[in-house]
Amino acid sequence: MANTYCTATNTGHGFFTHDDRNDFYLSGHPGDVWVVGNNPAGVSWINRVSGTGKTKAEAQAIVDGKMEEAQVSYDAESAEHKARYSRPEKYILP
Amino acid sequence: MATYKGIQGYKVDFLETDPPASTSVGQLWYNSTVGAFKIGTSSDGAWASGGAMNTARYRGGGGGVGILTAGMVFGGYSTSAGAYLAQVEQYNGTSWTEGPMADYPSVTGDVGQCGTTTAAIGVCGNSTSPVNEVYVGNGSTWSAGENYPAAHERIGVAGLSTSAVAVGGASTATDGTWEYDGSTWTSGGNYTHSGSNIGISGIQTAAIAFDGYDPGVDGTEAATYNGSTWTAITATSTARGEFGWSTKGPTTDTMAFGTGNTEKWNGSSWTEIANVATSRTSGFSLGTTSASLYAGGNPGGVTTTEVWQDPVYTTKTVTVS
Repeated sequence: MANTYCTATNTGHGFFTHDDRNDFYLSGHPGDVWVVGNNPAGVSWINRVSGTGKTKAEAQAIVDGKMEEAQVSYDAESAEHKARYSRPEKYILP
Repeated sequence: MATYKGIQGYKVDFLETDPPASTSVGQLWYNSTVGAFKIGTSSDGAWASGGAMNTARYRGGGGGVGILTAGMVFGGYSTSAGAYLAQVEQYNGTSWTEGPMADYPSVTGDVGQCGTTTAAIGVCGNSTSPVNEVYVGNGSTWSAGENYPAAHERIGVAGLSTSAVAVGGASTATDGTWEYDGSTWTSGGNYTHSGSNIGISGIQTAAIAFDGYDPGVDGTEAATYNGSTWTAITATSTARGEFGWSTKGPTTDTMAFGTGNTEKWNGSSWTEIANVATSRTSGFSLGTTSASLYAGGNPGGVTTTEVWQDPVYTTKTVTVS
């Protein structure tokens, strides 16, 4: 399995470092979901940030829920906003 | 048995503390405090998490003031507040603080911004409709500058408060280029096409611009400016509408980031490099291709900050057996 999944709150400076980014794949998603490269460095990072492990399905459900909330917010936005920004769409986590 | 001195010609240093990683690349030493051999390495550039902004915001217009360790952004829009913002935030390389710079004089989003924390300039913006206001900051307060020739938002601005170059803008897309000398705006050579949210870095007489709305669609066009004329160069591979970029540097060294792939320009070609961890549009950006940041962004305004460093210097412990 190439990636593993967790939720963790981004605490800012030091939450993930430049070295982390060079040591394993990492991408952040709505709902504090993080997709983490499944190697020792990635697993160590999850422990370091006290991440809560999720299955891919669980992580996807969190992101989907947040995207649905974003869609509701978007639909309530002004015409100017809608002309400028596209409606948030659900996507599949890597 | 071969020895380190026999191979290298000198002994391994015994040090109580590690030297700075940036000055020890390729060096080997023994840290007597922790009892371990250490080496200094460098690797490709990467994004790390930075300190969170105090106020979640987007509609940053892409720009920002200063450098990574002395940066500043202002304005934007907060969905939770349902309002444009006047708050100014300054970044010291680790964290954001509000002040010492006073709030921006206008509650505005999508302000063109450049310069330094003690000599900043804000150009136009949107306070429910495009405005032509210009303000100059001295590190503590703002004063009115000469109004921009037209009311716009989402203008790309580069340079200094006394020698700035501005390009494009909305809500009616324009190809206008205007130069500011600290007191007067003067027309420059027209950009290669009309657009807004155009990324621009450099100085008034040597700037590079790229991407932005075309309008209505994300663009890839790029061009350099010599103080009077824009010359088209190789387009970026990734189309971007509202994004971040390195705001300082020569026309041979810039990068675009924030949404889609990060790309770096070396004077002849664009190369894809490491991406931000959390892709987003409409944030604030500042810095160089060696050290820059991308903060805030859509949807709705976030406090997320990511910090770019290239190269990445690291001190590693040598495992011996």
